[in-house]
Amino acid sequence: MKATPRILLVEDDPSICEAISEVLQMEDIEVRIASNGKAGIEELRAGYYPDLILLDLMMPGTDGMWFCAEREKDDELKKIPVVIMSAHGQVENRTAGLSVNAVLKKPIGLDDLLATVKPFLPGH
Amino acid sequence: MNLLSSPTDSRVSILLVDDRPENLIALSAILDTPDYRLVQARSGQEALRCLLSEDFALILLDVRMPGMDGFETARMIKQRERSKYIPIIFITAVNLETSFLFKGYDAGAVDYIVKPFDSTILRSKVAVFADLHRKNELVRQQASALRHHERLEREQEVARRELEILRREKAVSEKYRDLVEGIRDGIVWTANPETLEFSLISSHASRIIGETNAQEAFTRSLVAERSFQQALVRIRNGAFKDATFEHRLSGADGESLWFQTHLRLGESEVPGQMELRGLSINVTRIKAAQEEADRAVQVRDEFLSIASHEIRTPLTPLRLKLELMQRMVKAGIFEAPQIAKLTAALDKSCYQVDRLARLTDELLDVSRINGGKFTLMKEPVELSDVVKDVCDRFKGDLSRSGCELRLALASARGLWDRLKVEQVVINLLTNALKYGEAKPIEISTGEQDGMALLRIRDHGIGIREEDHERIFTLYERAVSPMNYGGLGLGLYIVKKIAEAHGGNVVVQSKPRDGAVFTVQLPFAEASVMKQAQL
Repeated sequence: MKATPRILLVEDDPSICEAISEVLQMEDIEVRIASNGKAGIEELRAGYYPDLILLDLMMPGTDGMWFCAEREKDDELKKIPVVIMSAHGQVENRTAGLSVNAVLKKPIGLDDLLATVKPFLPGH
Repeated sequence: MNLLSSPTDSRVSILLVDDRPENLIALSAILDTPDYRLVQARSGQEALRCLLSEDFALILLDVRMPGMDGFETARMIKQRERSKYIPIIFITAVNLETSFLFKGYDAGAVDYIVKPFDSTILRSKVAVFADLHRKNELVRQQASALRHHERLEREQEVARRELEILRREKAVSEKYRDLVEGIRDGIVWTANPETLEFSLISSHASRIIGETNAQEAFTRSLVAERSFQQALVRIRNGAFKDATFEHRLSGADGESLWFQTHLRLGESEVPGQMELRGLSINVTRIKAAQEEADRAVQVRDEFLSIASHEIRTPLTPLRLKLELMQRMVKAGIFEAPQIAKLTAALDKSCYQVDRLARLTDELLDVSRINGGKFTLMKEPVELSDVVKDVCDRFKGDLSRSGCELRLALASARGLWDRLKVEQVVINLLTNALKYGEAKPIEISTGEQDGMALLRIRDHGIGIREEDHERIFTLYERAVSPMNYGGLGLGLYIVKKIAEAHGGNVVVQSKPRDGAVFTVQLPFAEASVMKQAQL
């Protein structure tokens, strides 16, 4: 039996989380949500090991930049690919120093979301 | 120097030379007048001695004398510079042969008198020479006076020119002093580039710096400046032209002063010595204004970044929902489960559209307030009804936030702009939801001190005392925009609407103790005629 692909979604806006989860679940992808950077790292440290992390940059408290910095420090976490989602106009500048695998620019489209995410998932 | 003849003795001196005393007595008797001063000499030698110490107008000289005779004496007289122009009248008893006469003239005689002489002839001859002498003396004195006068005039002219130069130098130095002292917001100074001794520091230094030892404080801060030291190095290398730099001076009151200094190198008044000349302008106010402007730009840029984030955020779920619905419609299956899904997706899309509309309204409100197009459309409004309406519309947000709503609504009816009052309630409620940490929110309406009262209380993160004023200003918020969404315009709009109605809004809050926002609105009449002046 094929393993279910898993994504950790780190995003603070409930509406975005709900809409993205719905789209991904329709593709039989398991989605776990963390509403800030710290919650995301805690999920990972607790043993949740996703195929991909979908990460928002602007979040209350510990934001996406903080999350990336924490991930850099941990060799295990560094192996999990990260896709940045940002509504920020200068997303390229802000992600220049980060080792990220792809960038999704908000507002995110359905086809764009799936096309960006799928190459990182098993069976693709 | 005695230029004119002495007033005590204006007499003409006449030297009488004869070896016989009786002749001398006779001559003196004939010539004895107050006009003449008669000096007697008994021999040629004695005559020459007299001529050494005195000037004479005329010499009456006896020809026949023992030892040095008259001719011999005359020749000696003529050889001397001092006496060679004194006329000589020979006195002789011998016959006037032509050869004798020539001998006399050769010796320098101008006339002869033969003994025994006629006293009248003698007097008149002497008078001619005395007169001639007086006239010569007068001409000499006039020439001398003229020379003296000319010298005086020359000296006066030189003095006048020197005075003019001094006057100009004084005017120039006064002009520069006035110009220097006229620079009220700057310090003009000069210094020796080798020793760094300051030869001049304009008097405004103490006024600008406001310290008793202002000059010392100023020179210390200047010399410590790196750019100044670099300029000195270039001066010593001979590569210096001029330099401009800024430096800071910490005042006694702890406030910093900023100076912009322009340096030049010039020749000092001491030959071969260079001088460093500087003008240090007080740019503290300009710097403060610059910092203020920079901060305003930074606040605006931050706002634009937040605004674009906030506006784009609802677009993601909206777009995803719309594309999902598109897929469902294309699949063409319209059974109950699909219809339920479509309905849910439509509801959520509408919610995102509302969210966008609210953001857009907020932006438009601010642009209207700032553009001065903010007018009130007043009508009878029941405040408690407005609160109920708004709460009803925010049911979804309330349940999502986890905040329990507690209402204590008493009637408060006034003449207000309904939509604007609604806006006040919405903005305060969304803040309470955002910062309320899922704890209860209490809203009350009523009347107090003749004013309508709206009070919204949350039990969330609270606001520090020092931020109470700032949160009502444009684009400001008490917490980091990265942590809480929103444009940071809500309270600014609340305040402007309350003030436009003649009312006000105040906050009571402490960190971790929630916040109470109280809006007071006058019921109407006093301000009903008054259009909002914003």
